Amino acid sequence: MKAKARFRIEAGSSAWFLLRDRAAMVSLAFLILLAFSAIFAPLLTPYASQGRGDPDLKSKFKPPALEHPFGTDGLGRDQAARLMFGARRSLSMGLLVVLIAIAVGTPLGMAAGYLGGWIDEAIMRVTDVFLAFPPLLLAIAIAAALGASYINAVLAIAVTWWPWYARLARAQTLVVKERAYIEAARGIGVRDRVIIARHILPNIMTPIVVQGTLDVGTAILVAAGLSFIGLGTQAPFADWGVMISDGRLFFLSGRWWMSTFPGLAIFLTAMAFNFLGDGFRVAADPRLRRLL
Amino acid sequence: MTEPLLLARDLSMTFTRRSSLFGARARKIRALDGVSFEIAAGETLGVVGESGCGKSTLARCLLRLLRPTGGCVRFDGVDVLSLADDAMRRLRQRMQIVLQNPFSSLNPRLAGFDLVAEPLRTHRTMSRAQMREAVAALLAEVGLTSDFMSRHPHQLSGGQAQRIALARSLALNPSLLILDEPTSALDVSVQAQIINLLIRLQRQRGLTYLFITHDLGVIQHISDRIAVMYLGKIVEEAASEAIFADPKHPYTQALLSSTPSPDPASGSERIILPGAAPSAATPPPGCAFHPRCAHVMDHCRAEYPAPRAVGESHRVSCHLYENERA
Amino acid sequence: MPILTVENLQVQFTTPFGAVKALRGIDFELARGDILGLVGETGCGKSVTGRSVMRLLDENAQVTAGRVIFDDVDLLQLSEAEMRQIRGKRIAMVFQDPATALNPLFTIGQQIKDVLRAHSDLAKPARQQQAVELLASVGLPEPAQMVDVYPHQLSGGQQQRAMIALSLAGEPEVIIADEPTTALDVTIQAQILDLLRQLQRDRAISVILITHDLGIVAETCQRVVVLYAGRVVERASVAAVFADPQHPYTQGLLAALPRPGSRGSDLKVIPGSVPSGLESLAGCAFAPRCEFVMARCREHQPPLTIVGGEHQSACHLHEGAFND
Repeated sequence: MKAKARFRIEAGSSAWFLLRDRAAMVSLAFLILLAFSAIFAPLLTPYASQGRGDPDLKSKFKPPALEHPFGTDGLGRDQAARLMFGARRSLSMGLLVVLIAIAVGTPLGMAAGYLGGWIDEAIMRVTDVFLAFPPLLLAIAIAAALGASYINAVLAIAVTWWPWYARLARAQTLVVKERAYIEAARGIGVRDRVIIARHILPNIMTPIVVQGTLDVGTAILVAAGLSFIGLGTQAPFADWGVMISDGRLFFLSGRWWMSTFPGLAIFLTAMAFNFLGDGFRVAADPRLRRLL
Repeated sequence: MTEPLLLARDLSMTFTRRSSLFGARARKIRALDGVSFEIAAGETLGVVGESGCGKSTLARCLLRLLRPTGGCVRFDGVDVLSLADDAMRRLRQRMQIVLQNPFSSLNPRLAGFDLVAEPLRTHRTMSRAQMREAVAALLAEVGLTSDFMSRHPHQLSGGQAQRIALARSLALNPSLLILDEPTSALDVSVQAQIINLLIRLQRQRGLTYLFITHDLGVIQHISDRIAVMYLGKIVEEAASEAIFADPKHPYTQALLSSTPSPDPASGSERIILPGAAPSAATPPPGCAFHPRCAHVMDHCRAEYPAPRAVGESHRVSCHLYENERA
Repeated sequence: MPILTVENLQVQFTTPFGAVKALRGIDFELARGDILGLVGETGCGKSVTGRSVMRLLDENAQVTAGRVIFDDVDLLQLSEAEMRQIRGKRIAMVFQDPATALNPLFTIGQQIKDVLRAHSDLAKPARQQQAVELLASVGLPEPAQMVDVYPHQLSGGQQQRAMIALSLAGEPEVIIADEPTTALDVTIQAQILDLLRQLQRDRAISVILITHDLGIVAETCQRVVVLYAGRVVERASVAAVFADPQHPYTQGLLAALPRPGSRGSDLKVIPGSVPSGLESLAGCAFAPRCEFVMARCREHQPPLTIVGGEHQSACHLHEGAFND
């Protein structure tokens, strides 16, 4: 009886609230489906080789039909297969950008916030320099300098993104640093780096994960932008940005499906990450739960 | 006489707060002002005072969690303030602090085992099995079963959480425990459990306590000697019985009289102090208590009364006792 | 005749974990001109009781049964508009933390004058005059200047005095003070309690004093109601309860307090902890922690029994003793 009551209280935790958030759950289902179709793309489509870029010149510019539900492009490739293979690149670009930005920004931000003094000053001034540029222009400049490729586009965007996480981590660290359990740990004689790893990091991760989830959608959008202007994924491979770029010349001449479907894919994915991130935010913050 | 376990001499702590962005005018806040005392091994010194009197700052300065701006702290003959950081870290094994609210002093992300094992991980090398055994023994000592190893702080009651905090502070077998309001956040019935536990632990382990509180009932129950603080200074210090039977300083007298007693028949005439304690940023000249004191004299406003002995190990800082001989 | 009667008050909260029963049937009477102590530990329902009387409960709370009779009217049946005529004017509340209960954006005088405008027909200059007099009556120094001061410019004790002045503005018959001194230092607490006693004496205001501190009850109140897990376990005059507590819980609470001369001895302990409002309690809520527990304690809830004079206690132990 006692154990049961305890279990129910556990069920009232953040996860329990997230499960009640319908928009977040629908978004999560959509993203899982998307990830699934990206990972198993070769098994899910009869046009796997076209998805990887092989042309089929016999069936150029076919509008959506049963054979090609999303139509075909100017080289006769099945758009559905292209979208699934493109999802591999677009999704992974978004995720990689955010993961790299978190991996770089969080430790720097925690060090700045916890240690303070000149270390704090130095790290924050570096972030100021990065934040002084419009992020998209900076990413374009870096990508152009590094040379157009999938991985360079990821690095270029991540370079513009990590300062945000450094700032977020620093701000959260300044709050957590004042908690009594940090003083208690210092009183025991725990080393600073252990305090940062064991006591600060887990207690600042929630806002960072929330921000990260919200950012994946935006990062996919920016990555698509770089690919659109030719600085990202290179032919014969495609991501959603490349597909929109390929289709844009034909949009007004009636071949609307070429740009529309990858555009929709970006739109829906970015929105799904936003709903999911918002769900995390509300579930993690007891003050916001009342609004549900 | 043997060296006391803990000794503080003229301990001072002045915080400097910049009042504007560019720090044109710095405000100085004297949180501690020339605090001196000794604690013998196995003894309990109670420190009592109201909010802002500097008692919590004192705890942190003694452990060097804050660096005092003046004075000297000796622990078991070692000058605490001149130790290198690494030596200080090792010394902390022997002097531990227990904070007021266990729900804020325990990391909410860690389970009972990790919380109690953390000091062992920091200072000892032992296998996981040895560690489990040690943690189980510590939990048993504070009256908890091994089930609590897997519980997180939010699954505990206030009393259970404070027991975990105690087990954690005992893990390294310290000589001195600094207890900063350890029962203030607890209900009466639970407070009694924790006080009993503290007294039992002291007897069994021969611990020395510095017990900080604003609650006179609790402090008389647990302390051998009591120091009364007002605005960064110790104004009176004596054996527990002497403070309660024969308080000398007007502030001590008012403090005792203001504390509600759970005995409606006690009905003694209450001393109700006017006003509130002044801010440590703008202490009044002379004796800081003089604006509220019923016995204030002219030189109270000008000169701080030096502590003087008014009985066996009874010290008071008040001009009223200038002509008395111990 | 009592000025305020609470009968079988039951309140529950809707939470993600299910319905939490905060009050399981509270009965007490506030005699005219008395200070009544509502005392108990965290979660006993003492604050919920005060807020229920004022109808200031959060949205997720429902009163599921009971009546609150004030001047022959059941406050729980009044419309919100009718309740506004009572709240602040006839029954006022003083909160634990004056720093958050006072609006930081308005001066003390403005806040008092707002209440006066709502609850009296005084003209503007008279309101100013009245505000100054109220501040003087709670012992604030230089009241004529104090009306123009913002809450943050006052010390904690002064804020609580201003809060009390605010509660007096409607000339209430009853003041409900919810832990009014918990956020204050002992010497300041003594001032505020003294002020409450003085108001009771000079203005014949009846006070419900909600507190966890038995010492405060002993020194300030005439009568006391001891709550445990949303029920009344004992009620009587302060003298009777402290001299001769009848309920094992009250006995335990008093014995758990450190007192002069108790140094180094073992304090009496109540084992275990308070039950959560999620559990349904078949018998006496205190049974799991009680040293005198009997079989029937776990099955039947003991009713409040007269154990002498106006002294009542809800415990099966009394049944045999007083029926024989």
